[in-house]
Amino acid sequence: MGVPVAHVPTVTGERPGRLSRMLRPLAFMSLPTSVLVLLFLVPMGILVYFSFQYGDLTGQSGFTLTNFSDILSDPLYREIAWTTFQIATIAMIAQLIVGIPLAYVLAYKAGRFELPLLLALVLADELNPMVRIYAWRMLLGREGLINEALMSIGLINVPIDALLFNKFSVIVVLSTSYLTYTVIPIYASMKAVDAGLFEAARDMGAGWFTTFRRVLLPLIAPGIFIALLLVYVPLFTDFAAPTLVGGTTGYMLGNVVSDLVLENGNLNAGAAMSFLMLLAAGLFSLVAYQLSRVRQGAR
Amino acid sequence: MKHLKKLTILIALLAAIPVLAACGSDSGTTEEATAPTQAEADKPATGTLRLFAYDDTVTDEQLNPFRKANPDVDLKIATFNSNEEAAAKLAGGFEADVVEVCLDEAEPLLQREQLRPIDTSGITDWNDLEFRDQPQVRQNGEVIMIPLSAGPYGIIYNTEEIPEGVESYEQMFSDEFAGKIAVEGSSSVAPLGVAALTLGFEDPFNMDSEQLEEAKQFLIDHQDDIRSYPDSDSDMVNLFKTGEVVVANGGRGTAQDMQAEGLPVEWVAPTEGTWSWICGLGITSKAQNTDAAYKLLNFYASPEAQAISATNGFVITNPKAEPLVPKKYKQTSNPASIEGSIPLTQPDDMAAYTKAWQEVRTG
Repeated sequence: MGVPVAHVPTVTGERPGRLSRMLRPLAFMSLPTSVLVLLFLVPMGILVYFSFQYGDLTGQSGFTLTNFSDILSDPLYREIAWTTFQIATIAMIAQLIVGIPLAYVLAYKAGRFELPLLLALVLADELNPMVRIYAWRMLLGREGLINEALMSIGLINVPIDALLFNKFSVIVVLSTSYLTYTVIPIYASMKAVDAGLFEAARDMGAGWFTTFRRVLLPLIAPGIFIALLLVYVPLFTDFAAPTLVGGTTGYMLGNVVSDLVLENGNLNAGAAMSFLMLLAAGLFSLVAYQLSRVRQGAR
Repeated sequence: MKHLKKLTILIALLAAIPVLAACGSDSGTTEEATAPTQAEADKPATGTLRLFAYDDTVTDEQLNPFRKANPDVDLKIATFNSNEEAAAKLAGGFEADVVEVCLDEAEPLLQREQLRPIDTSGITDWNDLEFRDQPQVRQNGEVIMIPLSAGPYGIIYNTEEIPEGVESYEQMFSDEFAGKIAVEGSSSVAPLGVAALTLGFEDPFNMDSEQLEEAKQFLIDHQDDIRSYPDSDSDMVNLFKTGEVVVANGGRGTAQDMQAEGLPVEWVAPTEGTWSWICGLGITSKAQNTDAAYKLLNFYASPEAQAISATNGFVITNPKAEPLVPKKYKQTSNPASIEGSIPLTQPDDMAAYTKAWQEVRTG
């Protein structure tokens, strides 16, 4: 009598299943990962590499820290950085002052106009940046619509030159250029907030400002954080607005990078400047993230 | 988890291969581009020809006769706003056979060895061309570009606002026009050059450090008088069109563009002196169709093409074209019209100019 042979499940029957379970998500991830690596990390790596190099693309080259020490020790660059910081910060604050109420209207008050208004906001951003800047020049210029209107109603006799070609016009253009990216994340975070909370706050005697400060603001802090990341950081690198409406005073860090690379052909110094701006942006993001967590924790 | 880590690294490396390969790809040759034999030169061009130039050099009006004469050539055109931009793009992997070279901007192309010496025996009209003996046309004794157009820089003013005209840079910077002046600011050379000429310096493109400091201070002192530093010709035209400025420094070609748009402007050569840009075409170090490239260079230097170039407001370089130039453009296209002007060249110490310009922009 033969002993019945127990059926031992073969290992080979399980292996393909485990392997395919492991490989499937990896295969799924491989394309976006490759794109990310190819289009984001590799250029970033090249930027960092160039920032630590001296010489041009064909001549002698090697490792150096001079690009950084030259930038950091030059009072001119500190002055330009300070101007850039002022312009970008004021533009960001202006956008938040306009953007938060706008997001509030979209989220809670627009009713059936919510979607069309949202679409209008997105479409406004689709406008070519150059066209938008030149449109502002037509509004703010010496013979622009604002000056013409003020003169026609007799408020002024001569056009106001201070509307265009200075820091003010750069701030105006930058504030409007990025408004969509400020409003959308704040609007998205507001949509997640139960409007009944405002009613409860009112019932407990809170005014609109207290409700905003103690209820709404902490809840939309992550949205504001995303808006800051999307808008405040790119504001530092913009060079189209200062070039076209900055006149003789609106020179920013973005223009410095452009001049270093395109005029001087000094890719290394331009890369070092960009890298420093990237580091500053990273630091800023970290601080903004911590602050948004603090605000959330405060509710 | 370990597998995942390894796979991620592998994906990163695989993704980086094309980029690294591109970085280390063929850097081209700086050997002289061999001119085609006469028999080859007589045949129409074939294959793909990639031309990289300023947009006003590659208009359909300018290129249609070439296309007609060479129906089998696939002409691909790309444009840039400066030779610096062209050099950066070529260094980044963009490829072209023929590139426009301006003597005042050529340095980045030369630094990166992106041009091949040209065999002038392959250029039929070479010995007739003006400016062929300009020192910058040759590098280490070898011709790097064929001069094909030129143009003077002076003052553009609005004839309705200033009917009596403007004669000098000194007058342009006077209180009379405060707040209504534009100074071209696409690079540091033009604004500092204008300041240098106003201050009476002989060589605005090679100022010593003391002169550069004075020119910089001049622009800072006149900051409130200057409305804007336009970055391009089109921006300059817009400033005149919108009434923001009534006087500016600029090229005669720009003034002609404005007149063509119906703007009441005139161009004058200032009493302090004018400078002139000279541009032409060169063959790139990565050129693949040099026969067609020579064909194109010959076309641009031909009397027919030069006559078309004259109607764009440029000074022509081939005197044989003069009989073909429309009467209206005869004076402005004549090379004699820029005789005595200072050739616009890139300063030896470009970094010092850029730094001075940044200081001006910072106030």
